[in-house]
Amino acid sequence: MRKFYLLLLFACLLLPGAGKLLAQPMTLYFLKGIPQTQDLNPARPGLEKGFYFSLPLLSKLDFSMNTNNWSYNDLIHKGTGVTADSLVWDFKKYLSALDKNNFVMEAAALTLMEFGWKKKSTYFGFSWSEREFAEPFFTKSLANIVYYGNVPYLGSTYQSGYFGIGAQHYREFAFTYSRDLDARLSFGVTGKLLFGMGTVTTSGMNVVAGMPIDGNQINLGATGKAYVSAPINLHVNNINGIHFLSQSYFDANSYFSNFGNPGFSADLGFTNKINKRLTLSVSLIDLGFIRWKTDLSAYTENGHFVYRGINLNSVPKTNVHDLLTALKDSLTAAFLPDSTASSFTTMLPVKLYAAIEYKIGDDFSLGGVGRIRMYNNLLHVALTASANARLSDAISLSASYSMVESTYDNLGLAASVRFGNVQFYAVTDNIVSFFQPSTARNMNLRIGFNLFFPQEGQPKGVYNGKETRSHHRHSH
Amino acid sequence: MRKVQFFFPLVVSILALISCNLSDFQMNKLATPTGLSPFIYRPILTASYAVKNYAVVKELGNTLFKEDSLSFSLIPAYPLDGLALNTTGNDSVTVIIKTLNESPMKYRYTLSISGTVLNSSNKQKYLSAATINTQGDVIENSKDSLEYHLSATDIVNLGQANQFNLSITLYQPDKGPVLANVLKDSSLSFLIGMRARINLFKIRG
Repeated sequence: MRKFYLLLLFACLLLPGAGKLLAQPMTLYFLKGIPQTQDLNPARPGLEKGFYFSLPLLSKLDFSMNTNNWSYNDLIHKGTGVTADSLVWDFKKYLSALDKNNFVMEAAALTLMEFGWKKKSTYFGFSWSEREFAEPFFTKSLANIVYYGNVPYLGSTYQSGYFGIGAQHYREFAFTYSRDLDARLSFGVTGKLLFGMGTVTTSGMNVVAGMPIDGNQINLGATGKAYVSAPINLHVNNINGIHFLSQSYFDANSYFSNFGNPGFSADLGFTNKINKRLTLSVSLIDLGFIRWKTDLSAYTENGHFVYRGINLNSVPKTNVHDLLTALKDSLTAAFLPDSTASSFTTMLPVKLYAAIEYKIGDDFSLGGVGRIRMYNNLLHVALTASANARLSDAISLSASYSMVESTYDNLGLAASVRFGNVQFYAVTDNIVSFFQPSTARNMNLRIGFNLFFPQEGQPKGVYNGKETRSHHRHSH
Repeated sequence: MRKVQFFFPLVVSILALISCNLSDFQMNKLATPTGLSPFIYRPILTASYAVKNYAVVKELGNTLFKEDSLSFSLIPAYPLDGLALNTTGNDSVTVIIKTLNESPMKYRYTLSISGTVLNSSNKQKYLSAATINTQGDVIENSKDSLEYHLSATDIVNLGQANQFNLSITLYQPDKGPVLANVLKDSSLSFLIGMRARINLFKIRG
């Protein structure tokens, strides 16, 4: 056993360059002996018998952040030479790290209450969570024009590509039901009542600029929509024809007590034990929507303007400043967003998991999980291979390797430790990023506490419906 | 076994805290951002001056215009109030003046703005006349483009300018005198643009 610990520690420390974490804790999928595996597949509640509930107010805490393939260190890093003791901005390095389409996905969830119980082949569960996520996205083309300007595009048509943000905060009440249909087949479903707290979401935002080589005009076009639902007053500030949103107040009481934006989502899961060793499973997570009805703001931009500067011939002997003012007014009018307020719908980032597990023994298995996440019309693919062990009545471990987006150096670790009826668990898909967070492109961490209450007559430490080794030893 | 259970997470936590390079996040050591200065081009103004409106040509019809030069004496001074160019964030500016000459005569121009003079004759040459055929009619306009680098001082001067003046003078082409009616019907056009690196961190809303 000591060798196994040392092997894991050795593997983690030997790869200091693997400072990239995954977006979601896929290593959780096969971690043995914890009920939260149902979060990735409701057909796998991870509880053989009995009742559990999680620590109230801090049942579990999730945090994840990932980019498509760039890190904080690409933008800000230690200087060299005379700036060796400073952190410097490095926009050129950052630009070179970007792909055609880029995003940064941040998500956090706090589960305030969770419990479940399983009797015979049926499992019921409930949880109450506060969830939020934000995903700004932009193209390299947009970053290029900020860095290089419009001069390189003279004689061509510049297209920014789509950019924007999707951000939501919502309250989730989840009801899980799963059932073992027979010795081989299980299914599970989680229905989630959702209540949106706030959102900012954009649609179709992009800029096009045609610039003839002689530079006599810039043909500007901008389109896009922005939707906001939050108890704040938004203003469109016009600064030289560019519009910025600002908010004047935020009412916390109104915000957190808002149940006026209902939604629904569902998780579906299946498992199929092909034989004694091989199990296949598949799940669809967060298939749903929120209908936003309260505290609405919406802005539609559909402007077009041909910028030629001022024409000295247009008004003879005028003051040039008057011409410039007229030009600015025309520009402002062309790009003034239309403000409307009608209810709108946002989708959740839906995930599809497909997994295979091969049991080597009662307490050890190898697993593989594939995940496709879809949001903002982009597909994000991740693959994880893991080794999963139940080392004792109290300890379960999973070690994983993952490929996410364009990163191939993700080593994950999941562990659950149980003291009596109290279980603590922690999961990350890349342990090494905690050593080098500044170069992490993918980060996640999940921690939580569970309290177990075995059924009467059930020996402590029952796992997979069998007596554990320790119990077996004691009984002899 | 119990010792190992505590030992492992403890060691991992300590190692993580020691080696996680938190110094990379010491924002008090973050230098002032530099290096984000996009190269921006924008047209500033256009103007077109017809000879018959801005110069005095006494000759009529198909007669030859024999004067050595012709000044556009009717171009007004253009009043400014110091806000004509928003040069915030510019350390230097390149002004690009493109001209389109539809007249059969060579030309020079001088654009002066509060002590900053952009003069086409700096190169000690005339700018080209349009091409004419044997009948004296213009068959192809001439184009020219000159760039002027304005220093930080020049930019300050621009900001203080209260007017700018444009003077244009036409000169007889090498082929000899041109027809008066062709000259009167022609014009000279200007397109002035600006190319500059804009330091985005100097721009304030």
